[in-house]
This record gives sequence, C-alpha cells and structure tokens, in this order.
Amino acid sequence: MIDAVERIFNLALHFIHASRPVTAEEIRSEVAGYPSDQDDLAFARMFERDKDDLRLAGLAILFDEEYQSYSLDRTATFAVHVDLSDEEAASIRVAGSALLEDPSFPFETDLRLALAKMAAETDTERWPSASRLADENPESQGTVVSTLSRAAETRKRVSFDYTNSSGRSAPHGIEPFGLFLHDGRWYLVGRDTSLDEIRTYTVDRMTSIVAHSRAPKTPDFERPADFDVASFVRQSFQYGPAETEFETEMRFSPASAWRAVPLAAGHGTLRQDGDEVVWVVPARSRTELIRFIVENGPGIRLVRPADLARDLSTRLREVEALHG
Amino acid sequence: MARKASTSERARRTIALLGHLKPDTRIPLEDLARLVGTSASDLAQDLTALSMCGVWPYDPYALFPVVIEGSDVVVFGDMPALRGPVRLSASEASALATALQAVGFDAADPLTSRLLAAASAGFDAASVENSLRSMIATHDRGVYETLAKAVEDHVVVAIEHMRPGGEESTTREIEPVALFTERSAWYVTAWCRLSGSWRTFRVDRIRSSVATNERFAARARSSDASGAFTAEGLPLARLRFSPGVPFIPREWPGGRVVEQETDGSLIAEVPYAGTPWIARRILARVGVVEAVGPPEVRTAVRDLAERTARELG
Repeated sequence: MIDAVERIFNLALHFIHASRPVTAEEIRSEVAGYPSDQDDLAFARMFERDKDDLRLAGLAILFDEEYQSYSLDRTATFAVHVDLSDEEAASIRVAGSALLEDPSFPFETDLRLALAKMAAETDTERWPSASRLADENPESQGTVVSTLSRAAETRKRVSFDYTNSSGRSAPHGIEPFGLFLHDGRWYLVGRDTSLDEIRTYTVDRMTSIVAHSRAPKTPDFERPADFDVASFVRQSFQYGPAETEFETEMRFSPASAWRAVPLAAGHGTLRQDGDEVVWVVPARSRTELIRFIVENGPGIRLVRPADLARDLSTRLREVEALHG
Repeated sequence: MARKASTSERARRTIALLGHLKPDTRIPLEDLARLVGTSASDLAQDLTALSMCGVWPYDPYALFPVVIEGSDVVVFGDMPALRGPVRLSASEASALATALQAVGFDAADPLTSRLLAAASAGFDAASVENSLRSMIATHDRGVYETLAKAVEDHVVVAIEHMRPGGEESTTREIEPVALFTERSAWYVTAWCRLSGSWRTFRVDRIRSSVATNERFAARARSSDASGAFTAEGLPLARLRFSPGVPFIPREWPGGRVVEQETDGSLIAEVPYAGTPWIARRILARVGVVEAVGPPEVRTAVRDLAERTARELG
C-alpha cells in the first residue's frame, strides 16, 4: 500500500503537471495512492484532506463550480524572485534564528517552513540566542497563543477558565478578535459572550482552553470590520478606567531627543521645540506615568500635569532622604 | 521521545524543500533536515517516498530524480513538472509577518511588503497586523540590520551606545555574535573591545552602528556570552517593600521574598548586575521600595534621586 505522503506528493504533481482542469474522478483513477476499492464517501474525505494539506503547504488549488473541476493557479503557487539587500537578508535570518529558539513564539513550524522556502539558512553554526518574547511560562504562552490565533483567524469561539488579578477564577466564553504582545506577555482581545463586552485577557492567566471544533470551516462569529488590535496596545501608564484619563506633557532633553520616537511608539503627538522634543499624550495612571519617566530616564522631564510634576519632585527628595 | 510527524507535516516540510533540490546537485542530508527542523533519518524516509512519486504514467522519466547516497541527497535530473520553489502558504506568510513585526519591520515597512508580496500571492500583512501584534522593537532598523549582517559576517562594528541610566554615550568597537529578544527589547551579545569583556547591549540604546572593514576571529564561547540573563553569581540587593506593596517576581527577575516584618513590610533579595539598573528600578517606585543594602545600592539610589529631582527643577 502506498504511503499517505506519497499519495499527497503524487496529487501535488498531478495538479502541477495537468494542462487543463481535472475532475475528482480523473484524479481518483490517475493519481497513484487512492485505493481502487474505496467507496465514494471515503474517497471524497481523503481527497478533501489531501487538498487541505496541499493548500497548507502553499499550493493554490482552484475549484470551478460549473465544471466541478480543479486546477492549479501557477502564478500564485510558484515563488517569484525578490531582491533583498545583504543587510535585509541577514536581518531575516538572524531574527528568524532567534525566534525559532523562542518557546513563546507561537508559530515555530510555520516560520521554519517559510524560512526554508525562502532558502534562508537559519540554523548554521550560531551562538545560542536564548530569546524570549514572553518571560512567564514561555512554552505554555507560545502553545496557547498558537491555539487562540488559529481560533481568531477561523472565527471560532473559545472557552477557558480565567484567574483575574484579584485571584478570582471563573469560566469565560470568548469570540477571539486578536492577540498582542506587551511587556513580555501575550494578551487576547475578544468579545466576552456572557458580558457582551470586548475585553482584554492575559494569556498566562488562562487554563483549560478549548477552541470550539464543531463545523471547523464555518465561522462562529464575525469580527467588527474596524477592529484593530493595535488600539488595545498602550503605554503602561495608559491603562485604567476611562474616567481617570488626563493629558500629560513630557520633554526630551537635547541629548535624549533621538529616543522620543521609539519611546512614544506612535502614542500621542511629538513636536520639536528647539533642541528638545515635546511629547503630549493621554494617561490614566499617575503611578505608572512616574514609573515610566524614571525607568526611561534620564532625559525625560514631566511638565504637565504641574501638580504631578511637583509631587514627583517632593517624593524624589523623600527617597533621597530615606537613603541618605 | 520526539513526537511522530503527521502526514500533513511530512508533506509540508518536503514541499518546503523542493526549491533546494536543484538538478545535478549533492546536498548533505543534515543541512536539509536542519532547515525544516527534523532528523536526517526522518527526512531520508520522506525523500525516499518522494523518489517514488511522479506523474502518470509513473515511468522512470516521470518520477522524482532523488536518491539518498550515504549522508547526502543526490538530485540526478530535472524535477517532473516543477517550476521552482513553492510560495508561502497563508499561515507561513502570517508567521513570517509576525516575526518581522517582532523585530521592527511592520506591515508598512518596504521590506515586509516587498518580501510578502513576492513570497505569498494575495497575502495582506496589514490585515494580519490588525489581529496580531507582536511589535516590541523600539530600535532603529538600520542599527539592527548592520548588527545582523555583522553577526553573520563576523565583522567588527563601531557603535555609539548610551549607557543605562545616563545620557552620555560612548563609542566602542564590538564583535557581535548574536541578537536575541528578552521581554520587550532586542539585545546584542558581543565581545566589547573597550571593556575587554563579553557584554550585552540593548539595541534601542545604540544610537548608531557602523560596520568596519575588519573581520574578527571566533572567540571561545563563555557563559558570560550566553545571551540569557542569569542571576547566577550576581550580588544581591536587600529591598524593603512598604506594607501593602506586593512583591511581583517578574518585575524583579531572580528575586524572592525572604522575610516579612511585623508591620507587614516584605524584605526581598534581588540579584543585580549593575547599580544603575537596580537604583533606577527602586527609584521608579518613588518611596514604596527602599534599598536596605548593600551600601553601594543605597548610595546609588540616593544619588539618582538627587540628580533626577534636580533635573525636574
């Protein structure tokens, strides 16, 4: 009996070689590997699985409803050359190597195959990189994000038990819209079906995650058309109740002005004022704002709110006295 | 024991290698196996299966001209029907886009759009980015590219580096050996010619990087250059957390609570590699965390508090 992998290769070659669209019956009789004594339903299931595997491998298989026939979109299937500078190619290889070793990167297999197709030699003798996008339970976060990402992509509901920051645990049913990485943690954004609210959940606080598997090719929900997970990614001082929001102004000194763009990360507005850069941005947490300024200093000065700037100054003097 | 690959996985990894199987070549099996993350023996089994495949009527000229000879894969003719490497599937393109995002190339970056347009037909990186955000890099992409190229070519790089906790920058020559990410930043592991030691530099604190023409010889690996942050062998700072202030382990890597005082304060021991780092973390809690010792940490916190207050005016 022919190995299943042989059958899939033969099917791939048949699609590639065919000069015209082919029907399932032609495939059944001409492609080596489909048992001759197989009933119609079993063949249909096997053929469906094989096509899914080939699509997963990158083959663009088209189906013509009218003629009930299949063909390969050659332009969409075969790679075209892309010019990369030496630096760009090196960046992809080096970053790829680092992330392939990172257990919290959720798409290890897909990334490895992508790099292999691009002839990007990622595993030549390299220094161990010890990369970790997520710092807590990286293996577990990587696995869970892979599951949740697949559910978000196919619009399938998920359920899990969630322990909140107060230590309370409860089951949740979610329509997963998107995921983001922030400060060493993966987060899920989705609609909580029992609350009918869009909420953000820390992936590392989830247990017993189940992605609904009934009717895998039929979506359970639609994601809002204007959804963009980036709008949920904020600076640490921008999390908190909306009613606590205030506007803050910080100034980067001339020596630190070059850090303004990366540190602002697209939040708020930046403008040049002489040799300094002024950053105006909404905030919700005074404590986290102070922490941000001190941890990323020196060279960042809080201007507004003025009372917070005065308070910070007073408290710094108290810290100085405490350690005197 | 390694998990047995599914039929789907075996097919995918072999198809991913088709572009490497060029006519009249001999390729070490190990090299190909490493590319797709499998063992040489498993890949040999898949390529043997491939050698039995072809197109109707399955005569010798219509089969894959691949044979395993010892530890090599030998391709002795043209591939039947194939036109070259297969493009990325949607999930592969999505994984690549996520990896590129993590290193600072977002969907709008010319590299991402050029690469993914060529690698995968109809793939929309911006759409993926709307539902998956792995962007953590705050470094200059030019700095990263120079370092990545230097890692591969073993070339000395001159960097302008802003030291942690200071606005002053130093120019130094480094021999970069690896780039890695930890939590929210990328780091480069390098032999620093200025300090004469292995050092780890945060890439977003490198203001500029220029590759020199000088190649460096490989140095013996050292645990100092592992790339991973380790608490082993580091001095410990003793910190007091005010009553009601929790000790959050991930904010103090390698640290632990060692006692609780009668007023509810927690005493924790936290390893530190340099006083600027630990002093800044303590100061950022503005008064709710106190450095109990050693004296060098207390002094560093005091001096930093004084300097920061003065800057604020």
